[in-house]
Amino acid sequence: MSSLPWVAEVYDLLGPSGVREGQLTERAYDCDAYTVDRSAPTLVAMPTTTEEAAALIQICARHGVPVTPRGAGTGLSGGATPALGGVVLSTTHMRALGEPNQTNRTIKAGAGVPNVAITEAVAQLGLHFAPDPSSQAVSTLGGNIAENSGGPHTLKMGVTAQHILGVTFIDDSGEVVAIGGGVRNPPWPDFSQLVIGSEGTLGLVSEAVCNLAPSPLVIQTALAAFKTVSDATGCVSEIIATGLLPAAMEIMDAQILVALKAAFGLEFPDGTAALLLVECDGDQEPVVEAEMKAVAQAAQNHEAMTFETAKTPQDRLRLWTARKKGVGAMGRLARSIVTHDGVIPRSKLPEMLDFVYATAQEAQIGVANLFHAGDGNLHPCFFFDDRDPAQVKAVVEAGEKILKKCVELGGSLTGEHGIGFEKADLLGLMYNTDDLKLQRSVQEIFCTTLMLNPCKVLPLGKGCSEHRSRWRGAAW
Amino acid sequence: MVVRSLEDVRDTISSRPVGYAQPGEWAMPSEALILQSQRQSLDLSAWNRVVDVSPADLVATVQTGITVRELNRQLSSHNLCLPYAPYSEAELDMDLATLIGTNFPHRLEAKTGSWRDWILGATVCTGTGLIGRFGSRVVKSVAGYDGHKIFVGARGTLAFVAEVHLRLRVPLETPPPLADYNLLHRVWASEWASACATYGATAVYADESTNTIVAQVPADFRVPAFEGAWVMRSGVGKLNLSSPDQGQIHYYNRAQAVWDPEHRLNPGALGL
Repeated sequence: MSSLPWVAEVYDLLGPSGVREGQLTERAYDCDAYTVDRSAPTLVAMPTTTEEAAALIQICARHGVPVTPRGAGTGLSGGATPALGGVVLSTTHMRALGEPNQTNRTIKAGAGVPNVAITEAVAQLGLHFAPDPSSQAVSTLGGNIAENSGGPHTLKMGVTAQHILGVTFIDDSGEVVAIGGGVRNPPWPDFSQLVIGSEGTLGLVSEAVCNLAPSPLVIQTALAAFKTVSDATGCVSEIIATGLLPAAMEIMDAQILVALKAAFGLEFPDGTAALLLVECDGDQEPVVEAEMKAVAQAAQNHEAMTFETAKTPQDRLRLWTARKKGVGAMGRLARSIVTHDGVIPRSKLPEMLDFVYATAQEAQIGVANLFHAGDGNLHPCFFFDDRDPAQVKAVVEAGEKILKKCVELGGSLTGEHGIGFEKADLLGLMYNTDDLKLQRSVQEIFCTTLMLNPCKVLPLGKGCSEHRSRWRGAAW
Repeated sequence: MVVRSLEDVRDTISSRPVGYAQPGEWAMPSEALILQSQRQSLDLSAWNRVVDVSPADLVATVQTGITVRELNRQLSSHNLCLPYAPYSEAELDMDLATLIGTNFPHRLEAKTGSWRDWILGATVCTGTGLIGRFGSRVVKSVAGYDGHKIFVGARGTLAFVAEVHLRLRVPLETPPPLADYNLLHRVWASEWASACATYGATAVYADESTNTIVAQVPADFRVPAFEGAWVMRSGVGKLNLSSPDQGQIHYYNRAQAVWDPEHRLNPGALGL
């Protein structure tokens, strides 16, 4: 056990089963799924209740110890990297899941409850929790709230913020405050909406009242193959312009298909440059069928080579395979992948994709794209060897170049992964000095210590930059 | 003062408090109304431009003095609309600053969302005179704090919301406005039957899609209490105070201390 005075207090609070430290712990918790930057914590604390989490934060506040909240560690922007060391507050044991209220379509859940567990708990009632990040099998409610996570079906259903009615919130002094949780969409300022997406920097959400959406009675899924990526993006634009709002519209480019073939033996039509997956849903068969017919027409107008619709639930799962397993399959192409996240106005998709391919070629690194086309939310995946510092540097620089282009085209640095540590210094691309003052003023409303998840969201201060220079030293 | 620039607003509020964008009878009898009657107000009638429309992206940037009626008239030439279907005709002629400030509900909310969903970003001037932007112009972004969402329902306090980036739809069929009403009461679905029975014939419309009673009630009507519910009333002064929970009040007070410590914008309008 570390001899630091506050560590003993943490053990007293949580007992040995609630604390982890040592070399293995430091290695396991020094980053999330964004592996470029790493920083080890002193220890990992695993409270089980709001009261324990609040008491833990009080100890840390008293001793000036930084606290970094962490869910499942699937974040892709370094949001759970303990940038200044200190305590990683793992929500893994905060898994209380209340009884669903079928009539009001709500359920109360702890921060550590995996996203998919909420839907599994209410599926038999004909309900589901709509946010569906690709990591939903393991990523936690708390992590989804921190990042305001999206997913394929957010095109129609909205992001996490639209499905959280209230939160139990612990501020950086350890005070517990319940915010919201009443009837939907109140006519007053709703501060829970400001907490959502704040990446754990304003406080820790320990529990939330979740909105449950009725599950659609009819779902139709189609997969179309196109000769060019711009045919696929043009098809998406036409679908949107007709006024349709499909449940999901996802594109995968040729390099993803190479990975899928290598990993799972999946075959696609010769000459396929892009696959477009479209899902329409609703409660009335004729309406959904009419929507899918319009989608098919748009695909035909953009010279789709094939257009396959799912006939059975098994068919549907098969059509989704390319999307769901795309990133995992990338492991067949290289030792490491970094998945970027940027948004552009949907109309700029063709221009942006050309830029992504040119940037990767110039940097001599591989790139594949799978993305939420309906939202204009790109996910270029670079594949490389992270044992080569020159490649790591090339990946980071290419990523920054792509994000700058997103902003230049009127877009955003991130659609769903968050700013985290990765993009904190890039926020100035989107916001001018006064905008950043406004951003900092939000912290003034909530925080007194700035020791909750330091070095995230806002441009890095001197201490954070120096810290990063030390651990990036190996690469450049 | 007729608003023609954000600098006008900043200069005005640097010397005195102002009232603006109050939704008529739906407003609190606040200091803001007194300021308006004394002509210490921000007049948004010239602050009503559609700054930019991107039909392919279903997004527009607009100044908040514009009415929904005028906005949708201009958007119709791009085959777009703001999918706001008011309960009564009068809301169509309210400006966006008023509707955003009250988070005014509407008949298509369950299908097309509401102000918190539509506003992608906003340019604001805080009570301290800081002019800046929150959010972005794309339909999905998690870059930085979503400060723009806090001004929805803030009754014009905290900051003057000057311009908003709006998410739009292709025009869709909207239900016709209803007869006059003076009360909106949204309850949990579990209380819906009880609420319908309580309001009885005073209900002009029972909107089951959002569990909202739309009613015309006498001024001395005693509003039934339902847990977690909210109420909006017109013509009843301070009775139109639908109080948020303590957590919201706690952070509202802190936000006011940061963004408008001298209560320059619509003082008293939220009743807090």
